[in-house]
Amino acid sequence: MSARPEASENIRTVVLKPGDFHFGSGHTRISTLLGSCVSITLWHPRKHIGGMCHFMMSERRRTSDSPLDGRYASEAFELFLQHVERAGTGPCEYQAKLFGGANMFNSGKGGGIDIGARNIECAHRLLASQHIALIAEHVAGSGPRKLHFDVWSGNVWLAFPEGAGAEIRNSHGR
Amino acid sequence: MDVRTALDTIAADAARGDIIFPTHTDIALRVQRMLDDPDCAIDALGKLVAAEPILAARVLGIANSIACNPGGRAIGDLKSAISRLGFATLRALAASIIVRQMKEMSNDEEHRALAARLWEHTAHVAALGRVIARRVTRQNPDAAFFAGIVHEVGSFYLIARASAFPGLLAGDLEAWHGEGEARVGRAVLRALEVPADILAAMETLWSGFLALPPSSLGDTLLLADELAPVESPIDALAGMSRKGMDVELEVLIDDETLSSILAESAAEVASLSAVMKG
Repeated sequence: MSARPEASENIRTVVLKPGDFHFGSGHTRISTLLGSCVSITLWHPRKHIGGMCHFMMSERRRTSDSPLDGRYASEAFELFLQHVERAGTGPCEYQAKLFGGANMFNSGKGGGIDIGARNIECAHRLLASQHIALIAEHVAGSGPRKLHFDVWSGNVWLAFPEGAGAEIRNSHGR
Repeated sequence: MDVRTALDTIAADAARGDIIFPTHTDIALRVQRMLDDPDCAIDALGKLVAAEPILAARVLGIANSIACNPGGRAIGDLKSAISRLGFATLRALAASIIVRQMKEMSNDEEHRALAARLWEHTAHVAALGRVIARRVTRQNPDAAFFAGIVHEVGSFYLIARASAFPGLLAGDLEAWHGEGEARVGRAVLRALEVPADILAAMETLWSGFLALPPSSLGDTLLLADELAPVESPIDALAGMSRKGMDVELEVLIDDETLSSILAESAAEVASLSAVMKG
């Protein structure tokens, strides 16, 4: 991995808006801009296929006949599982990366409802439920993140201009 | 003159090569040139280093730090210290003298305070970069150390020139974090005859895109910059500062986590940054 996420005529770029979802293969770059929303990327290291979601909230009460809505974490993840199955693969064969969940209102810890924190927690729970390895995460904080996911290589590029002073997440608690 | 015009003027001056380094950086520049000589003799190098007290102290300090001397066998002479460090680290330390002197270029007390804070940030990034390169990205630690030392040269130059543009640092510096910093930084690094791999890493830093998991020298620099406990004061002036909310960052490196690697390396990082800050 060395090249920066540069533009090329051969690359098909898919830009995700909040609630969007894309799963694919080949020379596809999936890009998005995150605030309190969360993106999960899933990538299959042998088949070089994968996708990205961009969800806004954890879940809703959904009637059985309503279509899956990528704005909600549980439904975006269900979309993932459908594509994983259609590709003839299993969820635990994928590598996950997790991004976003910023507190865009900077209300401070404990000040009001932190949608970002709730979204991050939900993403962790969903990935764990399918035993998917989470190999990188860059979450929380208080600024926007630009994200590019190159499906052909699995590379994820992150720009977080207000990211100075990040703290390492301690997997055993902060 | 508005901020954008002032930044354009500073960048244009730098691009023309109108960069004047402080006079007492002369020895550090001569050390850099001597290191370019394939027949460079360590005796002559030791004598030249001895003529610059800050450089000599830093060479001995780093050679005896936990990072370079885990066995705790202290050495007191420059020739042995240079042998232990190697020429690549010596090159980085010579560059650090030049960058450190750049912080003294302004006569304005407020600007000098800013530059001092920027140097503190620089020391942390250099120390962290060296450890991240060795333990996380598997890059050349000396190159990462060097890159950390020079990664804010553009901002040091901006501060040095700021008194010629009253109100510049009080204005909206958003344009600085666009193309401004990269334009000035490239020019200063060219004047310092910085190697190509360092320049490439700097281009990654200016692009702002970190690969996750991090892998290149540029990623090493970006990650060190992001994790440094002291942020750049220029970032804060440009409205790019963190706003009190912690970012949570974790990466799996083989069977280890980034957080456990950095926790294990905390003493090494502290020893390096302490010598650099001194």
